Amino acid sequence: MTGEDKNTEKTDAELVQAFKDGNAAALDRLINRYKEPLYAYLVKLSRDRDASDDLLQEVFIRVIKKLASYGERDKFSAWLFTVAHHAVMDHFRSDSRRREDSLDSAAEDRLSLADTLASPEPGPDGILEGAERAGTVQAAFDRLSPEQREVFLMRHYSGLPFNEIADILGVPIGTALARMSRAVARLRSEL
Amino acid sequence: MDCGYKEKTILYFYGELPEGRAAELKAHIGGCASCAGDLAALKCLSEGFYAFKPQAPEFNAEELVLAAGSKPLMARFLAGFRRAAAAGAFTALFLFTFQAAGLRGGTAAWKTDIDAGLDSVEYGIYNLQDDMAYSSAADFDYGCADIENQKEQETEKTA
Repeated sequence: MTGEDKNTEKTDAELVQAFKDGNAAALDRLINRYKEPLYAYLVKLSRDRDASDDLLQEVFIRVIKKLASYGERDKFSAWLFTVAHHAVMDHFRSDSRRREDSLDSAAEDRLSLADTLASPEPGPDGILEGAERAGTVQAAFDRLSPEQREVFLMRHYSGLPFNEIADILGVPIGTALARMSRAVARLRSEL
Repeated sequence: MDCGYKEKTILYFYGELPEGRAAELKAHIGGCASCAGDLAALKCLSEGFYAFKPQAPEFNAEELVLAAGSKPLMARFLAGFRRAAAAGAFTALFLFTFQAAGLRGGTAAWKTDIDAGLDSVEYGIYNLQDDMAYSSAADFDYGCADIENQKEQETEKTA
């Protein structure tokens, strides 16, 4: 068995401990394990590839800096996406486009509510009408607010359940699900 | 229209609904075009996410550690590097010393005071070994006879 194979079998917690003990290869393994879903999450959320490159690096740097505060009982993926969430929020705050991508919940709620009330209720056959429809759905998704996009993206790319996602976002699970529900309604209204 | 199953539909799609509730929702979706539409939208969106695989940039762990400037980790890594460097230097010095001694046709044993001290100890051990090796059984018997004679003399005096 090669060293690489041994690393493949190691859990996140074991790799973190190995890295804390000074094994740089363990960090490489952790990075390779999570960088693809994390990067997709960042690109989809920020809608900016260049910024996502920097954000991905920033996330890993923050992880290294804060590794001492990582408890062995914590789920590493949840902790990693918490760090990523804060990095993206900092990016939105410092970015000059923050007015466009406002995180103001009240504004988002007003917009969503109006859209939801005005939305028709197309059936499943009306939504799934071929491959080009999928592109339309993705384009509509990109027009959602960052908060709405984030719940979707975190659920898909982190694989964490909604109760853990709610913890990461610092909101009750009902709020996280309500954001999803409003986003789905809004997507359907745009299709 | 809110049928009261919107959020449950989301949990159902992601497999987070308990089994009993899942069966209930499945039955509901059969008769609710709105929830069926939500489910279809979620499915379509997820397929798009699965298809989206951007190439993430490559990172070097050591460069990230340096960029992080994490003091405890840095110290640990640098201590590791220092230990490795010290071990290498010691090995090199060791090899060089004996190599140089070999070239001059001598031994390294007399080059330093430490070696001289060690040699003195070694000499002492050598002498002890020598005494043991060359002391004969006759010497031992002689020593014993001498002691016995002394005892006899003391006994006679006392008597």
